[in-house]
Amino acid sequence: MSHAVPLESDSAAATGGPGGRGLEWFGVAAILMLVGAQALGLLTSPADRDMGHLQKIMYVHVPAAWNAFIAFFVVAVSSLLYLWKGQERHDLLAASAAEVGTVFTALTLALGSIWGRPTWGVWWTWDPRLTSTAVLLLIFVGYLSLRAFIEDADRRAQWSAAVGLLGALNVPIVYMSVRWWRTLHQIQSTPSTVDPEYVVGLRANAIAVLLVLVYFTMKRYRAARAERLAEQLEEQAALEGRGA
Amino acid sequence: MEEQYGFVVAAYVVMWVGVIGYLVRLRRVSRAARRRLDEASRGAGRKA
Amino acid sequence: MSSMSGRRRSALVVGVAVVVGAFGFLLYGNIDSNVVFFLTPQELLARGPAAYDVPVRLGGLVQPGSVKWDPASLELRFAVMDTTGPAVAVQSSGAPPQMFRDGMGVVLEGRYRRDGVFQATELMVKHSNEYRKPEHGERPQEMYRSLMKGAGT
Repeated sequence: MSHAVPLESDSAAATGGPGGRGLEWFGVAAILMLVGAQALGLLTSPADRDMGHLQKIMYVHVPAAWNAFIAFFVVAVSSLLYLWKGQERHDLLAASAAEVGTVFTALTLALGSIWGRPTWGVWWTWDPRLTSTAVLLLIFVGYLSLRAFIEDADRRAQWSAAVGLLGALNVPIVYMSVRWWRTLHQIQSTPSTVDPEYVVGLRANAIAVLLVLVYFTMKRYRAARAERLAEQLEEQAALEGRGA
Repeated sequence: MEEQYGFVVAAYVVMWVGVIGYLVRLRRVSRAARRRLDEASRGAGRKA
Repeated sequence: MSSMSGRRRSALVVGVAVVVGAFGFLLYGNIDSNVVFFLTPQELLARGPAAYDVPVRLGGLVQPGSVKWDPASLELRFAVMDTTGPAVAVQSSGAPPQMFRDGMGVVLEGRYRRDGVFQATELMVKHSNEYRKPEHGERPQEMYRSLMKGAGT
């Protein structure tokens, strides 16, 4: 009796073969870039006229926020692709990006809170930017628990794609919140409102965190493929066991 | 200002706790997935 | 495998409820169009007597020259205004955040008293989107320190 492996076999990636090692090196490079970018930002930027050294929190808070947005953009695209083509890999990529995006959103909120206390004077306030970001986090926490609780793979993927799209729709709301409504949070800075001494460190950190995001997502995606493959083999074994 | 340094250090510590914490989770998830896949493949091999 | 167990189904319902609830909160909760995060001084004054003694947020600019800080009693008095127009006198207690100074944006939580003074229970500083290095010879936060010192003596 032969059984078809339902997912394209990429056991090299799933079991950490040569393909896996390439990703690990990429991960090491990404982490080293992050260390370097942080050192660059911390060492080259002068104290800000208003904030003093607190400006340096920008180099972690802002890249975390931007990259959370990028992760949720990947969720949106992958979810659409899944709904359109019904291919499992798009569902698994959406799930991986959603988990990483959730981590970065939580970091954005925590870092923003630490930044807010000494500059604004409060750890938290229910202004539209903070509230909509909290809602974004909640939706994706909901998305991840949804995935954990639906056993049937097709139904899990369909529900997830719908919720993932709905959640990602929040990203433009979060982004525009500072322009649409009155907020305590300031509107977006641009290179013309930020002196070049700070722009360099910010860009370096944004790129480094982007590389970390790519590594996290790819690594999570490989694990998700392996999980799914195992799930399919287990289901098959159960069916054959029942048939015999 | 000493107080400022405290907040800056706290922010960078939180960032690294997040990054390293998720790295640890990724390792655990990847190992578990690999183990589960190995077991499932062995099970499927026995039956075939 | 196509049907879910009861436990999983109820968990699914909870998950969906969280998502829908979050959306509802976003759309109809805090950010409802008739509930703005803060009123400007002009909007507060335009409310007339209805503005008195209700919890409200007031946001505006610190009127230059209005700051009076008493280090002994930790009482802080200043006025906030729109970019132009009438100012509202504010009383608050405790040292403000370090970025507090003349002309800075602030958001206050508190009540507008019948004597025409806004009693703030929370003082938040609204930062602009500008990040500038100190000009030559200027030291960061010196403005704050001199302001707090000068205002006290």
